[in-house]
Amino acid sequence: MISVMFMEDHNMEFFDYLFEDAAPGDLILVYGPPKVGKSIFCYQFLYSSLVGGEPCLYIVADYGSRQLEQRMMEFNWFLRPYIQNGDVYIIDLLTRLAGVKVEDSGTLKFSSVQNLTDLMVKVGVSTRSLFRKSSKFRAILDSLTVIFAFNPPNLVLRLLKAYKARISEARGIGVVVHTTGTVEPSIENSLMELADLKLCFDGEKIQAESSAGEKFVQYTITDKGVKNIRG
Amino acid sequence: MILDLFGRKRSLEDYIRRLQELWEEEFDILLSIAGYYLDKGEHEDAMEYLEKAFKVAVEMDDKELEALVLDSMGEVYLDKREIDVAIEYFKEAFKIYSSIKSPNREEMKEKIKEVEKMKEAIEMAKLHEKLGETSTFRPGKFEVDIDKIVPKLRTLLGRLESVYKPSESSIEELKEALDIAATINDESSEASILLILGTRSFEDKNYDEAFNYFKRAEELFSKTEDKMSLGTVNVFLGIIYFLRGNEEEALENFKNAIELFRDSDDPKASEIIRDICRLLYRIKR
Repeated sequence: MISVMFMEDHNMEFFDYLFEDAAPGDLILVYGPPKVGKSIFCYQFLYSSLVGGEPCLYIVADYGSRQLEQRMMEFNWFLRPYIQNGDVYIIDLLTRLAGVKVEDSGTLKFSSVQNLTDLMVKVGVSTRSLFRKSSKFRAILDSLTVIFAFNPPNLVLRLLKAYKARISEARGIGVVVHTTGTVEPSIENSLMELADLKLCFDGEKIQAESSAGEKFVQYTITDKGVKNIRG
Repeated sequence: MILDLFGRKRSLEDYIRRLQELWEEEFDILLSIAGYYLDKGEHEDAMEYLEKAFKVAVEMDDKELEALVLDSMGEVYLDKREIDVAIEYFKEAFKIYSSIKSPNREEMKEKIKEVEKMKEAIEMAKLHEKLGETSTFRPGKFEVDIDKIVPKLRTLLGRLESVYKPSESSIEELKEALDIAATINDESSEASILLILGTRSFEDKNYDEAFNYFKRAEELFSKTEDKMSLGTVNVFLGIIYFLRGNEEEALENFKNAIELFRDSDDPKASEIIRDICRLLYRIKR
């Protein structure tokens, strides 16, 4: 079971409950329609990891790394100190695509949604560093939407297999975000088959599905992030 | 009085129509005479009549006919084997056909392509001839100054919009990237990395290793239909074949590269190949 530490203790049980069937080396698929809190959930997952002393890799594909910091700031989750300490590695896939000239720094790497090999090279470099830093770490890919838009779907699936293998080797926990309806149903099915744990967000409840079975929790989004609604 | 010349009074429209007919007739005759001289190989006479025909076309304000004369002038230069001049005339004709949206435009475009191909073939034949003249040298025994060729190859590489751009990656990092590209079957990246690895080996003068990388890259670039990159690989392979003394394969690769660059509409790249060939075969400009 992954221990998820949150800033507010009452939220901890909720997340522990969702992740109780996940183990190091697993791939978790967070999916659902747009605007249901998938990315906020990831920010929360990232921040809880950092607060709990677990380093993290965050691959930001739908917006730039600066936007990631800004969006997290809206919830009072400040990334900057963790970036400076080298506790979080960020791979930014969009800034270069937007034509901005940027250079890699220690823990901030730039790649491109059109260059999946380069992305995987940087994932490899980051996971090796994180593994050296801590025996436990998390890797989040948010999200597949733009990656699917720029690449053949089967290539993206092969990328995910390689991503999963890389995270598993290093005994990390991988999270991948997918917006439903952005690819063909057959590709969506293949995505589901790759995941060890699936978390389906629909705006009201999170449905967790793994080999251990299914369960769900009701949730809402507040200025403190995704919170469960106690029934 | 002038009316008497025609015996009866006609309308202004009749006269203008008649004048037009006379011009058209004159134009046809001038073109036929030019054709007659061209058939006999009397190029200057042919040009003289074509120039007269051009003036008539201008007088008639008929752009289609102007283009036809320029096309014919190009034919005269083509017959004289002055291909560059011929291409200039054909291009002028093409411009006019394009400006009036003439159906002859596409035909002209094809003709220019064909003549450009012919030009490349002639240049290659000249290279062969030059090599024949120095037949006391065996190909492969030439002293090739690779250091002079490498900057040209770098310029060629700089023209590529490579999928994979590891600016200062080590060989180990590149090999890791190659493994990843192969694992996820990212053929475009795999080919680009092979090209980079081949280039590094080539610059280290490890030509056998470079050859292996380039052959694999060639196969993948053919599959992904990346003509510019494939052309660049062909140039490297051509040089390696040349260094190995296999002149036939070398020329075949250079020819392929020129065709690929032409298809990619990159004459500058073709020019670089010609420079490389001049350096290899020691031909002065």
